[in-house]
Amino acid sequence: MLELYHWEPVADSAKLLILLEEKGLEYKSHYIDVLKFEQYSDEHLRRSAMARVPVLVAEGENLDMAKITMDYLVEAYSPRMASDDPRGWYEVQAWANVLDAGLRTNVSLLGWNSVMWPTMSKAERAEFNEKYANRPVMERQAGWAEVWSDAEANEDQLENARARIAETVEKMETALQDTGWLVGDVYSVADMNAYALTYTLPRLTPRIVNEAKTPGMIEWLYRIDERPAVKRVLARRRDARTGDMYAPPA
Amino acid sequence: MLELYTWDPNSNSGKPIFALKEKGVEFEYHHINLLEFEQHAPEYVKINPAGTVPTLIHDGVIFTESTPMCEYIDGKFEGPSLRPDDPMRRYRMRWWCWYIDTQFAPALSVIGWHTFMGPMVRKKPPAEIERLIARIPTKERRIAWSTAVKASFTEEQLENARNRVNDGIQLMNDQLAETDYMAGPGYSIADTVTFANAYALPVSVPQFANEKKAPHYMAWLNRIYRRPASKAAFTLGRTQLAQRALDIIKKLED
Repeated sequence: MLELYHWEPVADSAKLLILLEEKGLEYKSHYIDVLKFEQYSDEHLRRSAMARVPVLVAEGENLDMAKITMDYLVEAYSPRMASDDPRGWYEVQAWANVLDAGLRTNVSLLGWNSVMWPTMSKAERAEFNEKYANRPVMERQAGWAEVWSDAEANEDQLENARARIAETVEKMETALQDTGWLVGDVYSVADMNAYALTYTLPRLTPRIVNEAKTPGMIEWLYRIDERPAVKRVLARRRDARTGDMYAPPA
Repeated sequence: MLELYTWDPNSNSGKPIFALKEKGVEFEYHHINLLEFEQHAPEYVKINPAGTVPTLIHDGVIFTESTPMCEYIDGKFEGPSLRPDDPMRRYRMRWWCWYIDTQFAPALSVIGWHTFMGPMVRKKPPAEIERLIARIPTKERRIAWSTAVKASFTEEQLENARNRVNDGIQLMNDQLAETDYMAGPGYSIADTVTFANAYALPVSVPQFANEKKAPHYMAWLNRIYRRPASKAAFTLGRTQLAQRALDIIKKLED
């Protein structure tokens, strides 16, 4: 049987939970509390040397790259829930790249700073900082990611994050106003991927995502909210604050 | 009608060239000279607003993401399959594509810009450089170009990049000790993507990419160089990089 080691139903954990539920697959769920640094336990490091969450266990292998784990689930289990046509499949994969580049770290930064951190008591912050400082050192940034973040270190990082989110939201809005879904005219794995990364945005970035500016996206979010599979996934939430945020710093 | 706007068969530019040649698909090749910043020229940005290469246009549909583009090419055209059938093998294929695209290539590219692109661009008049940087469509790339032009990489950034490249070569070598190709016993898009980024390493980072430190990687390089598609791809190139690759192929043939 499939097993999924995941955190709260946001971002990458939400993507895989939604896809598993939409496909109606049986799987065993294991909660990894990343706020308690459980991803760095010896047990989890054996599953993912880079301490990534989520990890899907399939065919005896630990799959810890969420983006391509989605591709695996599309192809290994029917229904695909993604276009089988080469052009549609290209669009699914291209969206995954665009969404990852534009949203992942930016939403994470914003959510952590404006939602999670202010709710933590002094003692909680001290405890978090101590654990964060003592976590095993994983992969460093290298190459352009490092050069860019060094160059931006003196700028307003939250403003930068908002600007990148706005660019990506604009691309989504254009596609959603066209057919109602990201790829073709049906709900697909591309929408699940995007939903997992954006459903917090009406609360996190209300000036970017709202009825007036992004009617297509708001309506699309409502439609996906109503899906039984998605409701089941969101009902798994244990910490209410994560409904408005995303993920702690890696 | 199949048109490819791209630079030499190198890095992202090279992926669709190698893939199309592997499939044996005819296409119209439009050379975009990165060394002259043609990818930011107004006529090219009309086709691809991000000003990146490659861009593939097939029957009027535009494709700009280079790795998904390879899957499109494989799915759309006749010819030998470039993807394994088994979903788990495909996961491994895509793992390597992810690793090369997001971890390895950005580190290698910092070294390339520091040692090659930067010095080359500095030969242009400062006003011309400013004009060329100002028309770059994305902020990240503007930062990248000004950093490279001003040679303002820190020693820490460079050292970090070199370490990452070394780690990558070792990782490839470990994989190739187990399997003949990156994702198993047969050639796949993982080899297309890896080769496009890693074929020149014995020249650019000989301290890491050599027979002693990475024998399996070196043997794999020669296997890929010997493929007819590789020769056909490099024959399209116009730079020293492509010429050097053709010289290597000639030696292997003799």
